[in-house]
Amino acid sequence: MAKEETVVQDINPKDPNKTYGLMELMKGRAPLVDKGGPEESLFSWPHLMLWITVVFLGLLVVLVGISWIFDAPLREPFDVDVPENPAKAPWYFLNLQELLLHMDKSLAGVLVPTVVLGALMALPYIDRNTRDTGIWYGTKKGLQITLFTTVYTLGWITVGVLFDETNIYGGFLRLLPGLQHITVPTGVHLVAGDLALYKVSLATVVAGWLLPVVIMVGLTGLLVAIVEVRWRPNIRERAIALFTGFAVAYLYLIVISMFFRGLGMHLTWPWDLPPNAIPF
Amino acid sequence: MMLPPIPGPLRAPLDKAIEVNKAVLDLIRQSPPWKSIFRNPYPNTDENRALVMFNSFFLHIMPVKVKRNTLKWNYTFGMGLLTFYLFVLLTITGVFLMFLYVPAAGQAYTDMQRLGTNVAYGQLLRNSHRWAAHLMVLFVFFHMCRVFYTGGYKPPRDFNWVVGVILFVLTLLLSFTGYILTWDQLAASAITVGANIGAASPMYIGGLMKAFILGADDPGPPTLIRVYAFHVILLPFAVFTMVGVHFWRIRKDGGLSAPATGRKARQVIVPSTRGGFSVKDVPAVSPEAPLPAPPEEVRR
Repeated sequence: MAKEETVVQDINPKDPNKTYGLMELMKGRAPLVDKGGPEESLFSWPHLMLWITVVFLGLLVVLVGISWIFDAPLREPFDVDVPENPAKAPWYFLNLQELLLHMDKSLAGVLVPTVVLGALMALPYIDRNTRDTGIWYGTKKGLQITLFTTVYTLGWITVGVLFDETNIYGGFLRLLPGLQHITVPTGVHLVAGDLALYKVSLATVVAGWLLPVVIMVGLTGLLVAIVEVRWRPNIRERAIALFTGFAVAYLYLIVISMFFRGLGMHLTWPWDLPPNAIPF
Repeated sequence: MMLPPIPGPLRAPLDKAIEVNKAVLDLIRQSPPWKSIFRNPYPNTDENRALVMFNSFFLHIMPVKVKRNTLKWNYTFGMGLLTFYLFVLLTITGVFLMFLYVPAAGQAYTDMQRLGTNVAYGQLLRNSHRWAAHLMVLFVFFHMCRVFYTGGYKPPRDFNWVVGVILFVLTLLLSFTGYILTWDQLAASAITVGANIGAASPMYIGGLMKAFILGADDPGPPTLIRVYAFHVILLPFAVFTMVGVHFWRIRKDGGLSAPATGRKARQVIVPSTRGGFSVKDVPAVSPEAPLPAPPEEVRR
């Protein structure tokens, strides 16, 4: 094979009236690094322009089409004194509403979303390895972990929702005699200008806080442990397991709450839903 | 498709028409008003393709060249672009809805009904605003998933991911506040659930949150006007600003994420044997490949 010739071209032509010397040689990245060379990039005009135009026109056609066929809902006039049954939030908050059925509202409505959003924002500061940027799932293992976590999350949420339906609001705790009558302080609040302890029954604490936290943390921990043992993951693959768990739970809880919750937000089949049970 | 030959007698007038057409177009294109708006010729050369991006206010947000990877449909599925378009369409339809809607508890609901009966295309306007809002929430979520699974959150795009999470929350709030404005029973269910979640914050904050959202102890007329203010001014302004930051950071971070190309180590700047520096191709593809050794002697 012929020896490859190295092409050398001056980027700064030499001025014959000056003297030149090598000051320093340092290891670093060339200006072209990661910018894409001529063969890896295309002019925005016309390539990008064409696509953003086509996508816009396509969206417009689809949106007008949908709007032509389906009317936006308008129910009876606003009256909070006569609530609908079931009274459902818009679909993107139905996952939170579903969580409210299973735990204390501070936990479901404030703590869980705060932890999830905090974790999402912290993600890029934990996984900083850029070697596999731009590749779907990073590795083959990443895809396997995604699929496994999807099945894992769907399975456990189904089990949990069905279990809690028979014991909603900690009904099974009534089996433990005395738990209802023990009160514990959970905070302070103002009563007639004075700070007072806010007390709830131990059963509420166990059913609203202790069990849900133990179950959520435990199932997340079990997921991480399985992935750890089965796939020996790197940081990104661990993040894939956790993010997939979040994304699947986010969507699946919406589906359950929207299509499987009827009168009094009790479980029912979609075909047995009362009228107006789907908030659309 | 081959055009049939032009019959002889028509050829001359047709040629004349084409000539006149071209002359008129040239006249327009060379007129001062046209040239004051379009500062470079039609972008059919590389130079003009670059200039058109620099010279246009609307296009300069985009780079002159994009990575091939950016245009692969199955890399992005266009989710971010679609989300942005939906926001634009929502802004336009939203302004028209503002002409036709009064956010007062006694009138809001009848205004909604009137859109379907007394306003030409009023129902279509409302429908498109409603469905676009739902689609925007859906696409913003899918966009987040796409960015996650392609590793687009990694440095240097780390901060832009955080901006994206904030935009996700703002989109939810924007959609939620709009949902209340219909002032029907769906709105009543939504505000009840929403206020309860707000009130669930620990200690004082819960009460403050509830008062802040409702403007009263229970959902009612004061709720509607403040939800309206959130929906038409505060939240759109916040989204508009954050989208600006989001797009600006895309450019600053080198465009959309893409797999590292072997290019990383293929070209380096080395001192030329003739003095000065030159760009040199390195045969090795591995990013870990060592830099070529400097020439032993550099002539002064």
